[in-house]
Amino acid sequence: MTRISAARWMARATALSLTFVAATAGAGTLEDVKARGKLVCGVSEGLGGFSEKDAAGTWRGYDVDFCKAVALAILGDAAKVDYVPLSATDRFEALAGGKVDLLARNSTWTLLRDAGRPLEFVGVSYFDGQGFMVPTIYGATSPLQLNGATICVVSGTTTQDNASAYFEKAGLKASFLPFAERQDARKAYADGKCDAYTADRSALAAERADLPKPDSHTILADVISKEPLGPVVRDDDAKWINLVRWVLFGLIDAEEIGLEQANVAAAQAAEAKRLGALSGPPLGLSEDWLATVVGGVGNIGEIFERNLGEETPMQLARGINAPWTQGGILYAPPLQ
Amino acid sequence: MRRPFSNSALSRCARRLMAGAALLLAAAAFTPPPAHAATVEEVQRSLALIRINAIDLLAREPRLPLPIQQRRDILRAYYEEKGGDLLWLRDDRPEQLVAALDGAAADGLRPTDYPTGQLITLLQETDFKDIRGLALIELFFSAAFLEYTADLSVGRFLPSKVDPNFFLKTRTLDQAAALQAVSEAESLDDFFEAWQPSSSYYASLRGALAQYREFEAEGGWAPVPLGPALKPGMTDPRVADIRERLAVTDAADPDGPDGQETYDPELVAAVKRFQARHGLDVDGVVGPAALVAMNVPVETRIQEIELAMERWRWMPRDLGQQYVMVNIAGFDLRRVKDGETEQRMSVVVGKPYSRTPVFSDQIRYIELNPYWTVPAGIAVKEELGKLRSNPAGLSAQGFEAIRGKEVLDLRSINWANYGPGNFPFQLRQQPGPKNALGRVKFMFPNEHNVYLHDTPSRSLFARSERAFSHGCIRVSQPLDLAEQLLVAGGVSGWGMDRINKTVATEKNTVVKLAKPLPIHLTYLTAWVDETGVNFRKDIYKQDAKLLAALDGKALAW
Repeated sequence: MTRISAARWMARATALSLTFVAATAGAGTLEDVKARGKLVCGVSEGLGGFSEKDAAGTWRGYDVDFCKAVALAILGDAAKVDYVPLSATDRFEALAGGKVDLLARNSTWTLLRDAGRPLEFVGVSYFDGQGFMVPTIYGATSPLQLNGATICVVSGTTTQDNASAYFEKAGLKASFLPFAERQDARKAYADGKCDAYTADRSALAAERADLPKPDSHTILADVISKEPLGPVVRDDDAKWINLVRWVLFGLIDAEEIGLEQANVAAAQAAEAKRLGALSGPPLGLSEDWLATVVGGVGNIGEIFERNLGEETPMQLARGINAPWTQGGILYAPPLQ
Repeated sequence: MRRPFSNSALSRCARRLMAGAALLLAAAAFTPPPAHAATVEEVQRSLALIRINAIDLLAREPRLPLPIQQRRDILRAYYEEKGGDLLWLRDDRPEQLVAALDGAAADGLRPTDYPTGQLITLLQETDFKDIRGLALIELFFSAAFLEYTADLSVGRFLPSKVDPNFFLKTRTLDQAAALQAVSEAESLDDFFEAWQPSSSYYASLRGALAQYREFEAEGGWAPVPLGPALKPGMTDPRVADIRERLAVTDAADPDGPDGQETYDPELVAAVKRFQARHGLDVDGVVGPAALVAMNVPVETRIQEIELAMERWRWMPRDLGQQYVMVNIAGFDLRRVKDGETEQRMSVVVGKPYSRTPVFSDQIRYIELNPYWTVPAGIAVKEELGKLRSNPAGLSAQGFEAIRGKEVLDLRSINWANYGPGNFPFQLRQQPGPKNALGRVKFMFPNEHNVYLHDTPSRSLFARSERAFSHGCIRVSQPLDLAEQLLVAGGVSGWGMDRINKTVATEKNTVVKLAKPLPIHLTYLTAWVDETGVNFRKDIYKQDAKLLAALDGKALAW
């Protein structure tokens, strides 16, 4: 007879019980959301254009609209979302611990975050990357012109290392002025203590909007790192992963095939209905989910223009975030 | 993003007062006017103070704005040594610089790359009594001027950073000389004309750019539908489309005789002109290649001209009184003397995966009846099979093996014993009619082992696209070229007779040039010649790389 030590028994029992808990949770995120009548969505504590509360206390942004899209798909109502602001350090634990159903919080998809945690990135909703902002009067068009510059940076992330490696590789000198808080870095830059400010380009756009004279500052086109941002869910609920992933793909495909907020109930109603009927049942959604989502928040292009586009304080050009058919790299598998 | 520049504002730069007064008055127009009109003496005193402040800023201010900081030493040397007028706060110089930057597009540069609007804003917002502020403006203008002059004169990128196939020597702007020259120039226009790339190739592209911009402004051209090949005399509804298309660029009559759909001789002539300009077979047949070329939109053509202009900025300023220039993308070689093309011929260049590199060098000698030493890589990869199966065949073509100093008959070696990693031979082909390099090679010894040579495979020259070699350049009229190069290289007594006689001996003969002759290997997909503006395919995809770099996409995603 095999003798099993008490310790091993304990270990096995714990493993079993964990599996059991996870399986229960895994079977049910969609059911939980339906039963609750609300989606619990993790967002940032306030990042311009992505997720922030406006003056009236309403959450707005690119990521917020994604939360709404998922709520529309399941519950048919964009308002049925509870937003949970999460800090950069807490966000993944909060998701893993079941505090939120979904994390739409400008999170970069990396190997360690994906394979290193019980989490799943469902796709890329925004291709971000580290860039540089400089005073327009400098006339700079590339960071390669910033030899000898003093650069403001927020410490505690890989931002300074990326920039420092970039300049070293190019054989250029740069010194860094690191700050723990964004506001302090922005102020130092605004006061002329730095020649440039480096951060992810989306964050730079938000910072620029908060400067006294946004138009006097230019975000350079060059991107020195890959920061693909995307929604994250727990990796133990295949049904939920599929649902969230295909809501994202649906938003991307909708733009590519010409489904828009304004036409989805009219000129394009038949196409939206056909695709919704095809894709709804396998996802556990109703047959009109796609029309409801696009009718509620628009396609990914409309979400971009509303929150980040040239007409917003963010003033971001679409760039590589345009669909692959229009010179960008946004590409989703087909809704078939 | 940039504030539009209001011309009327600056043109108020008064021409009433003597040099120097104007700018201060212009600035005064945007700030509360002084209680009394400034006298000439007061203005001159202010200008002197601005100079002292500029020098003080450069000498003592620990943190200057980056564009000034980066040029601190050069600017300081200039302002300390050079008295007299300031460079920018005088006459209508700010206006002239702003106009030059706004007109950057005429040189294929992007006006949005320069801080024009910000310079104007700064000028307008600075109080004319703020001497230190005005000193800073003077320095900002100088920095912007140097940046633009460098872009115009030596290009926006280091060639090798954009494309590893470009080995041109890096050129840099002599900033001190530029400041000196602009201080002495009658007008900024004069200065920029002198400091733009000097070659006539650049000037003609500049003209072409203006012309194609006009085509663009007038709506470009509509695509002609694809379809079966159209031959002279045939009738086709697309004839009207082709007429309209070629009316824009090749002087076709847009209406044609009685609006007929017949492909008539007048239109055939226009099609032939178009084919010649695009390196297509000049046969008057409108096939898919001609239609695809016709349907390239005007915006793309403009871009190609701009890229060619950027590449001219990378070229040596002095090409030489006499030189040879190869355009890889045009499969073409020309010999030029005193600015005139004296000889032109077709060439075969490297395949896309063995690209002929871009660089400038000097032809130092010519070798008649050359040996061809098979490059080690090619020997093992392409010849080993033949060596094993039929060494006698290769031997009959004149090949022999060299091991150390020994010359061996191929048939004396058991090739089964050798292979990759174990191949202690050099394969060499003796001179003669079968030699892969033909009867002559032209040497400009370089790290890339690239040279010009003759070839026994003449048929390739008849093709319109000629990228077939391992990187070397095969020329179509080698003996004529040899004769002329020897003359140009200062070697006397080598007429065609002697060349022919020497070739007939099949004996390897080296002739050194007394004066080495410059040779420029270029890659240009657009240029202007007597047939008009020429465009070629981007065979090595090098246009795409430069374009990506200009858009800040140097990093591969």
